[in-house]
Amino acid sequence: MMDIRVNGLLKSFDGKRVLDGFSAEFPDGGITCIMGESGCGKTTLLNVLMGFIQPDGGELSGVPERISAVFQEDRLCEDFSAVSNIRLVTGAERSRGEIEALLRRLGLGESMYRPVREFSGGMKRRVALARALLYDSGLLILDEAFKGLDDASKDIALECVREYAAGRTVIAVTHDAEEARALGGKLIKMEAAA
Amino acid sequence: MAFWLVLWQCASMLLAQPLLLVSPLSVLRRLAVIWLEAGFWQTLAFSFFRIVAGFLLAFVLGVLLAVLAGRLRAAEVLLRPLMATVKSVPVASFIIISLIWLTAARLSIFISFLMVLPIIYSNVLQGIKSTDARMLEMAQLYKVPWRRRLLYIYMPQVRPFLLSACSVALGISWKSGIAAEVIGIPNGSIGEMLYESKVYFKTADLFAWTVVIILASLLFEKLFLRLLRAVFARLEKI
Repeated sequence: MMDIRVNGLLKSFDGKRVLDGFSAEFPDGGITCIMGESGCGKTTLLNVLMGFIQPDGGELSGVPERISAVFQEDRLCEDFSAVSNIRLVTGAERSRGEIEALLRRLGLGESMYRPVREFSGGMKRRVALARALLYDSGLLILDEAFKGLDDASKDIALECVREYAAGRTVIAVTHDAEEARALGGKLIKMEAAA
Repeated sequence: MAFWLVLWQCASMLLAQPLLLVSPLSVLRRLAVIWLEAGFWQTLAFSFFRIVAGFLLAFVLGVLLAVLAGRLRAAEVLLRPLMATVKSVPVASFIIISLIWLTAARLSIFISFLMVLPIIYSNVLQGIKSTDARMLEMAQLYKVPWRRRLLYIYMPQVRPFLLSACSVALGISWKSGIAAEVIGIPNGSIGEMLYESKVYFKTADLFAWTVVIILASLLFEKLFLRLLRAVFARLEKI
């Protein structure tokens, strides 16, 4: 594996420049936290890394083929249970026991077979996190993954990230300096394009 | 319902001309014996199987074409004028044109197929198009296989569209199928019975057969929708 490198990334939407020559290096197997004001292009950068949008210019290298992510929105199938949502992406790669164990650890033991439409925002967030952690990927993207979690749940979630993401490259976007400190690793401060 | 039946009974008593407006009691009396008459079940089966066959063919083809149009823009563009034409041409025109090509016995299959096809197609296509783009991005990122995407991401979105399309299309398949039979008059069909009722002024028979059509249509609609819901529930289990 190699480091992920972005060099001189350019992206505009409707003539408004969001990324203006952004460059960074994300060490292989390490955690990188990105902080910055709203609208400075953090999510755009993640969307470029995930291949959802094409940059207008710049270079991108070292992005692994398998990526998992906790998106800003949970992106769960509302009629399915937490376990089914995870099985949808993992297939037979993960046993039901492994899925149940992580969900139990994240405090969803009682409700893991209920449709997620009945879940609170924090519970859905934890399901989305479990899905990303259990998917065997080379890059884990966390876009405000701990938003809406209470302190106790956040501590457990951070512990699970450190454990399950060991050896994987992690890129985490956060507004919370405390959260960035807890995740550790490299910190990048993004600024809005001029 | 009771109010309208009473109103109907009163109107027929006031008019006192059973030829023009038969009373609901007379229809009920006719219904009580019509199913015992020779040939009733064969007549019902003749129309039922043809109309249902037309509906099922349109259901399968409508879903397949919608999936194709959902994936290929060119297919959607190609099918758009065809579906728009089928929707806007009066059913009577289709029946008369089809009588030149087909035997009267096969007419109701084709007509009910033709009337149902655009309804199923356009609703399923709308369902496919309304699938949440963010969920599709999620499936793309996690490399969810195509079969799982279809079953667990597209199908829950398409389900309400398909169920409501079927609910509408089932009624239309019976209306158009019977209309085709009344014009084509195939031997041993409900359409023939309706036509004869008109020719021989058997108003009670006309109403009794109409009730039979409504009951058969409702029964099939309930059965089919229940079956479809059960299939969805089974398929969507991971």
